[in-house]
Amino acid sequence: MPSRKVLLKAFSSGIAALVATSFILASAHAADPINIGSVMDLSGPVATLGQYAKRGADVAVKEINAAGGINGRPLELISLNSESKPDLAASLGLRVASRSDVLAIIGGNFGSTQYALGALAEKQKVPFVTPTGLVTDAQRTWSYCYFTLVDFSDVAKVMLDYARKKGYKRIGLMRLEREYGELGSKFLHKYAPDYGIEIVAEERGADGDRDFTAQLSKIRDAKPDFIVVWFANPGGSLVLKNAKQIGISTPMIAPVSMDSVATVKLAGPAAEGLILAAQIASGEALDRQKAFVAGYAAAFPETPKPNSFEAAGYDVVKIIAAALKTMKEPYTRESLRDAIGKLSYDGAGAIIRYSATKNDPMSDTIVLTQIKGGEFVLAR
Amino acid sequence: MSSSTVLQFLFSGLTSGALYAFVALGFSVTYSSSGVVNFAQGQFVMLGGIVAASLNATFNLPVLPAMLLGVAAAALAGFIVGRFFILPMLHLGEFTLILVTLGISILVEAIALIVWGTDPWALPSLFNVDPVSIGGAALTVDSVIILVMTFVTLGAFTSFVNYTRWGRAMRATSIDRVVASSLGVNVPLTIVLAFVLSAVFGGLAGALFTPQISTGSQIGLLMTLKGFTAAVLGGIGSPIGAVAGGFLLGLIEAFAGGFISSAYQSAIALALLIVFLMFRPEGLFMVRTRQA
Repeated sequence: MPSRKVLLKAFSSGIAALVATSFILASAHAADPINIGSVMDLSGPVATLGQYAKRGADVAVKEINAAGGINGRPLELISLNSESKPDLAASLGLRVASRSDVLAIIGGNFGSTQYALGALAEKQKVPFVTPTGLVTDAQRTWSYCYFTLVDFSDVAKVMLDYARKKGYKRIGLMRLEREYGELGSKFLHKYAPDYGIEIVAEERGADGDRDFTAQLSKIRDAKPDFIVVWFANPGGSLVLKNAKQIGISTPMIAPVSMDSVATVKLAGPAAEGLILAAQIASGEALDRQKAFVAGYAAAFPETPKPNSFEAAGYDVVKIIAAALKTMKEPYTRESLRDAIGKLSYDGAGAIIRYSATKNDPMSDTIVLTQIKGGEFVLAR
Repeated sequence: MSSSTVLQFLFSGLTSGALYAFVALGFSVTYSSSGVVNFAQGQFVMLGGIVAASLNATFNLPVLPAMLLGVAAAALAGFIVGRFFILPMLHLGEFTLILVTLGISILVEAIALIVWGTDPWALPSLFNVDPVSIGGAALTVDSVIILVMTFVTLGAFTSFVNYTRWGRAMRATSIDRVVASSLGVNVPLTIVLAFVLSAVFGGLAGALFTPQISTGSQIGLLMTLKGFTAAVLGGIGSPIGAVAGGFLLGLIEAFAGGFISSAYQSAIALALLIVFLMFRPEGLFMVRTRQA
């Protein structure tokens, strides 16, 4: 019987051999990757959005590398978790920005972390592409930041336009009390008169609230002919459920934050008929979305229908890749920024016509979808 | 404002109130036996609901057994917390233990994030029937079950505390651990039992409410805050006070939202918490006692 010492020796030399071979393999494959820092909110209150965007970004990286990378070099994400905390996002952003081999940063999954990363990108002069939209008008002049979600003022206009076409005159608004709902409310109030529409009731709720029947009863009393649910999940789905429970059958519309299978899963039959100002129609993909929808379904066969956030996550990587493809080596942050800054790109989730005066997507990016039989199809 | 709308405020308040009552009851049980304000209480709610929902969704387990297993999972978590975290550190004093429970809460949430991800989870209703209409206001069957269960649980627990040997042991422990111990009460076991019971209440709340409100790996802390507010309003040391505090908080939120503005709904509830902590920390329904 071999002694313990011998066994240990054998074991450790085995490990050493393994480590050595993997080193050799790794160095043989190292065709100098193109590094992109990814700072996303993978945990904390907006973890859902962070996970969505990351899934989309991973699909894009896989697709690009399967097709031979960019100029023969693989794309690599340095993935960090900012835990939905703006201060952490800023320090992680600084960490990746200070690496000379990092060409660009992606990430920020809601206003606060996006703003922190964006401000840092401006200061450090590193290109930053985010799966979110503008949070302040001042960000329009930022020259290193590029956005992939449509501005809320455009979303509000699309909703009002839809209402006008349908002949609706009285809107009831059920919205989040935090900044996101506040912005929706601001723009709806601002533009409603232009469309000959009146906002007859406005009620608020918090993300953590679990019953909205009181607010919805008040909206019902105001007799609206159209209801805007400017909410995020899971609260928004509970709003739909509660509305059905108290017998509201008024047609409803929601922004991109409700565009996810979670809405169908949580609200069930109460989600039927909901109109969404989304950026992708997962059940009836447009031509520019088909490649992503197929790639996504292959990567996540258990939840094969991507939503707008996943499309935005996919687009942030694809935008950088598309810009790099228009460039010649050596790639620098400065030349990449210049290339992104004049990029025209029809993505899965966004139509991009970036220019010196536009760093967010075109408003015709918005796809009006409707939940029918649990699928997100084009609204007709 | 129509009477049916006002009635809807009432139903809304009672439904949220029952949830807060369940969490507050859990707070009350551990507080009165060990003196620990268990800030991991909300995680028991999360576990009960998410275990039930994921068993149902992943293994097609029918709703009732899924709910029971959810409660069992919460009870197991309660046992682990009581036996392996609270008991060994009981001598460190209440303040340290509160921090310990806060740490446990963060740990449980981190584990849940890995196991169940960030997406919300849904669970079908026990009985798939339409909401009933009372005076023009809708009341779901889930809400009715929840309300009934709140009172059944409260009744069962008060009888347990008043009429059983273990219940009396728990009361004795809450009054004085040393004297109770010298009179033959198995104090460590009593404290573990209290944590298991409080976890059962939390798990029950999670399992019963998930069909109505859905759940997710991140809801624990929120439940803790709501339940803690309710427990402080009603009186954390008394089960009846805690339940009353829960309903009070739910009704205040619903009526403040209805009559004043939903803009101030949560602000009003939290302002009340501060006022109570300042002026009546023993809660509305507790008799003022002189401290020795």
